[in-house]
Amino acid sequence: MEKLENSIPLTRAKAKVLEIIHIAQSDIRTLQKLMALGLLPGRRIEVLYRFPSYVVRVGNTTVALGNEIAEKIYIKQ
Amino acid sequence: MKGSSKKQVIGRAHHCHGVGSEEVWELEKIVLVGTPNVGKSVIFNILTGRYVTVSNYPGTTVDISTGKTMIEGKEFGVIDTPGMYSLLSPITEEEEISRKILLEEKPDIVVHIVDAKNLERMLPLTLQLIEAGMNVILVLNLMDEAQRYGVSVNVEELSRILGIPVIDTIAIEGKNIDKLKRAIINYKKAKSKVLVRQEEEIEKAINEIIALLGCSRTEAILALIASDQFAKNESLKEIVNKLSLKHNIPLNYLILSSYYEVASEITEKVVRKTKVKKETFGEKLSNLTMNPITGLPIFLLVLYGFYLFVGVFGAQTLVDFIEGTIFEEHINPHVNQLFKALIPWPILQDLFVHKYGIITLGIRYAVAIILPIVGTFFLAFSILEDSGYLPRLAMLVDRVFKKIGLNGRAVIPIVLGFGCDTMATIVTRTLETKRERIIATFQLALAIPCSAQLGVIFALLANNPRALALWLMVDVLVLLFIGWLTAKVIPGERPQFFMEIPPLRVPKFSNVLIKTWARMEWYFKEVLPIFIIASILIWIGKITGIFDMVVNLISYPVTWIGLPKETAVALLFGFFRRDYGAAGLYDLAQAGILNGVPLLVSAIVLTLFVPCIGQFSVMWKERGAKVAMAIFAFNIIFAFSIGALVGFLLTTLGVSL
Repeated sequence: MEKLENSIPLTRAKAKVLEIIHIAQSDIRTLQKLMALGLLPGRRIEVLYRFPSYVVRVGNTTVALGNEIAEKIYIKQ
Repeated sequence: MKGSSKKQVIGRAHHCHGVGSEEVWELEKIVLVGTPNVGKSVIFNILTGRYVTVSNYPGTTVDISTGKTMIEGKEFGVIDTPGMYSLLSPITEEEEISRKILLEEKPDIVVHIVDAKNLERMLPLTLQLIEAGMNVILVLNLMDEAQRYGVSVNVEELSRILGIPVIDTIAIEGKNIDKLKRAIINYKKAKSKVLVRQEEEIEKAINEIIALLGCSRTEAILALIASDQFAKNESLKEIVNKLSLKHNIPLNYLILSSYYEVASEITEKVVRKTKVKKETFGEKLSNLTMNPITGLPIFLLVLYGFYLFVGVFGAQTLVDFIEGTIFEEHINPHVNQLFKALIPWPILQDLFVHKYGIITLGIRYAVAIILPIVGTFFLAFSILEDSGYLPRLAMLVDRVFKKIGLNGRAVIPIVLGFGCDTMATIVTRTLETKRERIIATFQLALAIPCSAQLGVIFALLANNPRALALWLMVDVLVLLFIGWLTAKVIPGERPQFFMEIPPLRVPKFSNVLIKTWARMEWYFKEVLPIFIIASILIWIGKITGIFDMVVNLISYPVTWIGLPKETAVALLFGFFRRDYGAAGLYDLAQAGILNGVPLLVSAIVLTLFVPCIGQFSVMWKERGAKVAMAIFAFNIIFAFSIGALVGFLLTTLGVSL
């Protein structure tokens, strides 16, 4: 939990390359699908676009995320 | 309810195949698994060639394709499963079906196809399949793309670690498919060098379950993860409850995470990344499609290209040729003559020929009007699908779609709806929540005209651009307003949008053709009988007077909103096929009975009016009787109300069209 204090939602981050700390997703199915796309704590992501949807790259995968998903992804500050 | 619908899908795959494919399930079976977008269907097509049966709808992820393949003189059944991410914890219904096939059909060989450049996030499923004791072959596909990303994989080392055959392929070019075939026929596996170990407490629980039930490790883990489904035993439930209480993270997430950890370790050993050269043209274009500034113009350009191909080439050039030249000049006069000579009774003649006959109306509509429009649509759609553009479209429209209770993912059924609403209604299955499925089904029935209907409406209003613009405006307003309203009214979780964006690819022509062909085949099996039945029903209705009765009934609201009585016939036809009705209006307009405001009003009413008989039956099957009937009733009332409103506004404002 103390780790969370140093983290902010993806929607508030400005930098391009970020590290995922925690995903505050209560829906386990969504959590699992994000994991299947490579979005899990410890992975580094690169933010390509922030509008109209978030587009991030993780490894060699590009993923589009709605705002409501992005705000639940906490990244290292 | 949910359980039984799943069984139906499986059941269909088993029992409702065409002649000769029943034996696929009796032969030694090769099952293909993998996530979407890894080229699974390409490999399936290469293996099976033209001996393919699609149980029902041949869409990318909805139903199951089966076929046969011959390797060195031995025949195998090949089963293509819907895209899946996890054996242990399936999320969608389709994934559940894939798991069922894997666990219950006891495949002889499981071919796991992965995207080589994303090995790390795909290996967890391989590990689960190996753990379940299956005879797995790992196919690293899309090697050309991996190379472009600077990814190289040590195939021998990976094979040694996993203890199974690993083959690198470029399926689209057919590269190394021969190796895959050899691996299938000479299948050998060794003991895997890796074991995915869970946390100590979980391991303890797994061992307890194994001791209790005498089951396999996979079955024990399944009992832990989906205890409501797999753990019938009371003492087993106790083990699960005890364990769940100790963790604040859901058990399945915890268990799955360990597969990801092991996958990461393996990837580190076998994958080498080298620096890549400059961005390729494809990547530049890919960025442009997602960029907020260039994305929208590109979308409009794609839309315009689509319209030119389907709306102009398909709906005008081709229809004119087949309908005008082939049917009206060559076929109709001959068959009319032929039946006059064969059958002396005019009543029976009417069944086959003349205005509403099976041949002159039913088959002519199906072949001359629907075939070219739907054919060009499916061709264009398949190209779009294989190019990887659809997810980009989904990402662009997500914000707008959320306002109407859907999310970007729904772009696929909605776009497909402009081709055929019946097929699109089936595809709403791929949406995640029940709420989205209902809203999408509703929108498809109400405000999304199908390609055939669009074609006729365009023709109807073509020389009246103002009316066409008004029609478009009313339909879009209805779509947005009703969408906004249903999103407020229908309870349920708010949609969340996330989607993988595959690289843009140049579609392979043969693959596009196979897909288009399969869709057309489905469409024709579905549509031709309905057209013929419609012709017969109209014939019976005419003889018995029921037809006139119903027309009479509909003519009340029709005249109330200021339309000529004859429009009622077109509307009734609209139920048999939406475009049937539109074509009826077209005839009325040609005859000079309909024009100006009433023409526009009737086009609007017809667009919003009840779904056609095919769509209605699919709605009933997919969403249940209650939802189907509710949509049906709402559409009738709503269509006439909006028609009346538009008519009233235009006449009061003194607008003439």
